[in-house]
Amino acid sequence: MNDLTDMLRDSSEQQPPGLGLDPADLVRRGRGRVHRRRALTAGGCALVLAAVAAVGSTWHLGGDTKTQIADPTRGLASYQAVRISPAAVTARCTPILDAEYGGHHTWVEVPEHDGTKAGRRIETRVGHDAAFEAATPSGHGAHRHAPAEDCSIPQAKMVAAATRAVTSTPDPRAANHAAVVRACSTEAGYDLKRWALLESVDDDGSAVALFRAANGFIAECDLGGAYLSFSRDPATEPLSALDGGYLEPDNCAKVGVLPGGRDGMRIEILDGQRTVATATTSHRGAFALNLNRSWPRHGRAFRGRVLDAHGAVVWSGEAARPGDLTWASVRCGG
Amino acid sequence: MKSRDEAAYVEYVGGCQDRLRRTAYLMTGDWALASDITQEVLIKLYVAWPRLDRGPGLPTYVRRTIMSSVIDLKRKQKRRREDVIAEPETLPIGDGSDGRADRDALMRALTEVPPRQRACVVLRYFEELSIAETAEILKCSEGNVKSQTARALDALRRLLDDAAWIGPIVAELEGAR
Repeated sequence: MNDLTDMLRDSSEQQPPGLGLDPADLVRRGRGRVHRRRALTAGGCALVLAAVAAVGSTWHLGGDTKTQIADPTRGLASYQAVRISPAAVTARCTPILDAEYGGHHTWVEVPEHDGTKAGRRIETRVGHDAAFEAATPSGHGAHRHAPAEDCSIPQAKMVAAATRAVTSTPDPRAANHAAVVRACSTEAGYDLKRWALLESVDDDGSAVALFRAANGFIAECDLGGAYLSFSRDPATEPLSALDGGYLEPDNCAKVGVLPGGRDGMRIEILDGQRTVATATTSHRGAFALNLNRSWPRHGRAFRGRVLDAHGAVVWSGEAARPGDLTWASVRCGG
Repeated sequence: MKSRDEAAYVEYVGGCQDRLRRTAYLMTGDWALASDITQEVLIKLYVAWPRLDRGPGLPTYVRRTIMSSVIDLKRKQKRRREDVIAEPETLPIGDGSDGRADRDALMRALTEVPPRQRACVVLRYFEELSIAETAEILKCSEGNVKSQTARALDALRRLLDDAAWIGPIVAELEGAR
């Protein structure tokens, strides 16, 4: 055993330089994730300029191949938060989690911090992510150190489809709009067929997509993680709300809506003086941004800014909140 | 998170990230991917930090999250029919003239072993955890750890058998069965 142990140690000792993670950067990213969860918990009151992960896209500077979708104006669904009982949450998520992790387990929903004084709650809203832990093999309740597994709480009519989707064929390309709608609906267990698909952009073998309901809500779908994020449509916020926001591309692509809901706004990501990615808003402020080809493996600080249709800078990430635009050590394809 | 909690998180991350990255590397054979997985796990750790018991169970939590991340990645790779987990970066089959060739051959063999079996080898032999501790991390029975480890060692023995210079390790693997 010692020889094998020594060999494994030796094999993992020769780390390439520059892989060390900055704890302060991890804290900043962690805060961003907590912030995003709280924003969603509060109904999207805080502005987050999307943060939908994607890798390996076809859209980058000078090569605008993103797919733009005609904005349907009739027959859209309205979003309303639907709460179900905790028992129903567990019942709906159990077959999906069992399909994902194999075998039959007793899944127990885990309370999560919600940013209030009460501190913790369990998620019961349909379409939102609930955290679960599997009970120990001996069946004596959830293991207190088990990592939480997310389950997007499915609509009752979508449980079977979401369960089948766990082992379904590869995710569709972003350009296949009908398939993107279908995949987002089944993988997240939430029927989006009567939502307007505003943007979709390729991920590494999957896609991220942005939907809008009739009543001022948007849903971001990440097929890579099989989840949805609901929030109030930032298009209904004043443009000045940008000052309270931040760009957080903790992966390489994102879809979102700029406050103000104006079309023709230009988002630029800069590396020094060089523009490495751009996006132009349409469909009342919607955008898709992909940084894949331009992203260094172990990156430098980037800056982001937003220009109006006349080229005037209306927001600069560096000026507003410099730390949020330091994105380091992000791996992207290519 | 309160500032004292953040300070504890930063201290913990500073002390464990190197070891976690090495574990992730042994599971993936790719340093960049190992670094990304470590980063993602440590961000998840930040989110979960306020509700975690910071006692002796914390390393178990973190190791389990690393293993889950790699195994999930492999599962998604299967679903997407894409080779997300890279081959080890430098893996020539050497002539045994130096330790590098031995290590490379072992890494190549390791990446060919199924993820859960690989996890057993890494946890038992690199992390030097007991069968019970390994079972706790992989959320399976001790018997399952024993059988998975035996299969992994058998596979490694077969994969390394052609290289005569790896003889002592092959013998060791046979002895460990």
